[in-house]
Amino acid sequence: MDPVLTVLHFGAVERPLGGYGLMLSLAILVAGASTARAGQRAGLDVGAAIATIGFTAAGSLAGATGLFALVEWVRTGDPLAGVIQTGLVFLGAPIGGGLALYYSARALELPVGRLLDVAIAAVPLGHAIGRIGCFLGGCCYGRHWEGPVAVRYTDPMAPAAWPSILRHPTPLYESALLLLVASYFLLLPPKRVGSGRRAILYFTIYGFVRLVTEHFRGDSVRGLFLGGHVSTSELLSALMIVGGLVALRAPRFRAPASS
Amino acid sequence: MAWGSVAVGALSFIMMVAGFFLSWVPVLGSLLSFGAPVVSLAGIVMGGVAMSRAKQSGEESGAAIGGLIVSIIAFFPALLVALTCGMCNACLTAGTMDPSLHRGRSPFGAGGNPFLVPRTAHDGGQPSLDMGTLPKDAGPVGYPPPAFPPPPVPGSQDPGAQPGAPGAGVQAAPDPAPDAPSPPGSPGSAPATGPAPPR
Repeated sequence: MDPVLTVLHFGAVERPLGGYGLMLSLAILVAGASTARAGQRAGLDVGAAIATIGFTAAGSLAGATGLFALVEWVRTGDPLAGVIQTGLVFLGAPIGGGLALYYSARALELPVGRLLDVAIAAVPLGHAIGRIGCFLGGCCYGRHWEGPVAVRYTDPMAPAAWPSILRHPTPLYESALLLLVASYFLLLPPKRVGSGRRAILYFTIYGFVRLVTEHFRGDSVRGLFLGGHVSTSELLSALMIVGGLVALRAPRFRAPASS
Repeated sequence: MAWGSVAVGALSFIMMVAGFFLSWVPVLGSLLSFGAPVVSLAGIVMGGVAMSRAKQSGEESGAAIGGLIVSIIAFFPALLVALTCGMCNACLTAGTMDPSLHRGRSPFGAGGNPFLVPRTAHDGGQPSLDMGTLPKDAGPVGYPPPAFPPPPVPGSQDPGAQPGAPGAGVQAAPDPAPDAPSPPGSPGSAPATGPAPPR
């Protein structure tokens, strides 16, 4: 597995084209286009929906980068560790993106719950594509595993090549589960939406997906809490599940809103 | 605002190209590379808002759509450049910093947080990467991934490292596993810091 798909040549200048960057860009493109299309079909203001997507993308990147910086601060004790050498933690994206979406949609007079409900399938769809980028880049890699579908990274640029052993293709597991989740939400009839129930349901389901896939993760660079038994992502996933289940039982979200 | 989105989209395109060719310049390369997608996102937002306002007021929305398209076209190569050239530059920049800055200045540091366990030799703890039983050909356990390029440590040249090879001239990581060959591309040594992978 090679994290660099190809090398672009512009005269004397050579720049690598990484699989991770390509798939992340593709993920944002697909998720943004899917959201705009869903907004249009739901009769929402397309311009405002696109502006909201822009805010949400910015908020998601800021959230993922910010959570990485926070985790690195906690891990190393240096507040600058995650700033000087940047990275992304996916679970920061829904936090930052959610806040950006909420406030920007309100500012642009879009119904937040309706927009979230009609476009929620874009989140697992984009995430699934992004996870393929993780697989190509050799990050978010799996534990040692010598059974079927095991993969070995040999390129020294891939974090999974340290050490270069056979591993679970964990990003592909997560990608497959997310595609299933996206299919489920895409196949739901586009009616009786608007309360935000579908969005809450998605984040609850994703909490379970993440808890399952965390079991197969083998990264060494992870925040570990409570005596080293719980990773940052497991902690956040548990909170998502509990919060989601509580919210789904709330009267506001229990009965789907009429279309 | 419609023409503003066109201008911002064009600016992000210029920043992306500059970031692409100047990625070898510390700090400046990062600023240009990471700034380009941020600016193009601003262009997308401005274009969307302009489109919405044009629709509400019944005006022509051609310029708004143009600005939106320019910004969207600029965004994707800009993000690609940020995730390749920008990351590379950030690592280069980080490689010039003092590694001791990365230790224990925060109340949440490994010494101050009762919930935090030092997990690897790199963090001051035991090599504890949990991967079950490792095969004999496994490399060093618990080491961070490679740096781009590894920061040189004066007076710690590894005699086994080849000049120009990844990991050459880098202090060997402590407590390597006996009989474990080095990961590919770094004969006999392990880098002191590594890139920050997405999670």
